[in-house]
Amino acid sequence: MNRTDMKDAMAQDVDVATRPQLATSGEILRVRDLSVQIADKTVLDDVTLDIGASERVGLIGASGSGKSMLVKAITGLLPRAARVGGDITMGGTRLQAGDDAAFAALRGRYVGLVFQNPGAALNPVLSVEQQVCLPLRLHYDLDAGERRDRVMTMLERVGLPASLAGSYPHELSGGQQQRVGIATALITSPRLIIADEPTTALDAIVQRSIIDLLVSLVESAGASMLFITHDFAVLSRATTRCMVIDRGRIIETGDTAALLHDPRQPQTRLLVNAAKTLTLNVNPEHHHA
Amino acid sequence: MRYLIWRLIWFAVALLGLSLLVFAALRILPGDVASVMAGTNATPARVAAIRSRMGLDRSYPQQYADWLGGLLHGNMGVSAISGRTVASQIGSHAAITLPLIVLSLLVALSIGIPMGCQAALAGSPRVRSVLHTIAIVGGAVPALWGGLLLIMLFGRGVGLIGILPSQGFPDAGWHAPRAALISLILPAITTGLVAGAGIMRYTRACLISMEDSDTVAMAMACGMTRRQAMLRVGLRLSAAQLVSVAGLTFAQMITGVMVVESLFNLPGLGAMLINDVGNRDLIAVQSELFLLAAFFLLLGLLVDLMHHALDPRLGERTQHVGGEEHA
Ligand SMILES: Nc1ncnc2c1ncn2[C@@H]1O[C@H](COP(=O)(O)OP(=O)(O)OP(=O)(O)O)[C@@H](O)[C@H]1O
Ligand SMILES: [Mg+2]
Repeated sequence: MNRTDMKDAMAQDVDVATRPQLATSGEILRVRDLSVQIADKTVLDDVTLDIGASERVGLIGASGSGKSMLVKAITGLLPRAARVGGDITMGGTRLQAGDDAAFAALRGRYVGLVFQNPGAALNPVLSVEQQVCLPLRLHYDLDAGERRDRVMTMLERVGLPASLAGSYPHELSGGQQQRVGIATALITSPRLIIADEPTTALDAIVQRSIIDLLVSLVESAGASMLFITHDFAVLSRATTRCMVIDRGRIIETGDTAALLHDPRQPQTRLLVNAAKTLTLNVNPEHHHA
Repeated sequence: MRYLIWRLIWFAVALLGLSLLVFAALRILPGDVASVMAGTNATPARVAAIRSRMGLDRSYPQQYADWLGGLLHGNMGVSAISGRTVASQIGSHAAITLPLIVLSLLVALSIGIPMGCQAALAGSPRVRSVLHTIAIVGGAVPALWGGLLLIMLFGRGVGLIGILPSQGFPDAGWHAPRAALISLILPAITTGLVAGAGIMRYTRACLISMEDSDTVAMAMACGMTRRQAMLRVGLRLSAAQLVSVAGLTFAQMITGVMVVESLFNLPGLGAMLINDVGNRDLIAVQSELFLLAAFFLLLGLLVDLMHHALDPRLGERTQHVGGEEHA
């Protein structure tokens, strides 16, 4: 790709992002028979799933069921020792496990990740501006002024004052840190956003506003989303479809409302009941099955 | 800025404490330069005369004040034995040892860091474990043994491929820069290889500890390959630790090179110290010990300042919130 091509690609991405109604065709993510072994332990077992354009899908499962591993497998972030089988197709590219360059070309451009604990994920030696800018720098050949404009616009959209652009992560609150995380994930207008329990590291009061922010930004960008959360209220509000994972296998998938209402599998029922009890009685986020 | 000022004040206080310590220690330890100089058969009167000429008959506070005042002006007195000024004596020996240490450290870093990265990041597990073994074995080789081997391989006149001088330092010193530099190559490689193996192990360990970190994962999520993320983010976040290790290595080399200097017959600081201590040359030894120890303190200062430059979390703004951190 030469410089102009990249600029075109960038312009297209951003255009599509601002015209969500156009982004409804085609397949965003396609996973077939994905299996992952780490040190002879099977952590994912024949996982098959699809995510369509502008579709928002939830993923629930007990602690240790393999949710994070699934995210890592999809994005090529598994530990080096992992043995991977099956097919992943993302953005029309069929990805070979271990082809780090191919995954890297999609990460931060086609797929954006929001991490669970921004305090640990944000690079402590990068300022907010540098951090949010990183995916732009890595994927697009823009001049400094243009990059800065985009970053500042993004900061505004995630509700961060421009005055924080020069701050470092340790100078921000947990909620502000996660806003930086969201801005970084969204700065290139990726087609798919994956969020793995994006608010468990935050105070209960901040959680809701961060989730609402994330969902509304994803929605207005017309992007697709894979959302891992224990908050069933959020799940039914933000996702249309939901998958249940248990010991590395997808055991149930379906319409979110129906699934939460009338779970078919005993494992799902356990999960849903536990979550409901907790959601109704105690702090909604502080459960780990 | 505030940190810098505090750190400099602390450094000055530490230097003062150090000077007291060295002064006191040398007054307590047995051995009298005057009687050594006078010879075994000297009369007490002769010894006393020498003592008074050297100022050793004055009160301790006075001696201390004289010494400190002299130090501040770069005047460390005249060696009772050699008759040269202590400053020029230290200068001419340090002119061998310091460049040797710097060269050794350069060798150690330029081998240790890239090889350490390879040992952590090489695609093939076989390559990684071979490199790791090299690091462990390399660090266990005694410098003396490694130096001998190098002399046997490359030493001019004795070695298999005798291309480099292995004994002594040119008489003209650094006035013949080429010859001087060349005579330091084998010694620097000897010290540098052993230290480099240590740096390689640290680099590898630092990088491996970063491998599963969320920060590296996030850099990858932004679009870096694993290798890029490890080298640009993992290594950068290990930089403060590596600076500490390099500083420690440097400090260890100050004593470590003494063995190598004697093997390669270089008249460095080690030879000077051994000589002066053996002669009970109090005037020279107290300044030499002080400067040597002061050099360690200076290294500590530099390492600290580099930490601050490398890590914004240690910066000014945290300090206002976090309060005193150098109490
Ligand atoms: N580095 C690793 N090596 C070996 N096994 C691992 C490793 N990391 C995770 N596992 C295993 O993989 C399984 C799935 O872990 P994963 O982190 O995906 O769970 P999770 O569903 O995200 O749980 P949680 O809700 O607690 O985040 C667990 O059984 C865990 O023990
Ligand atoms: Mg998890």
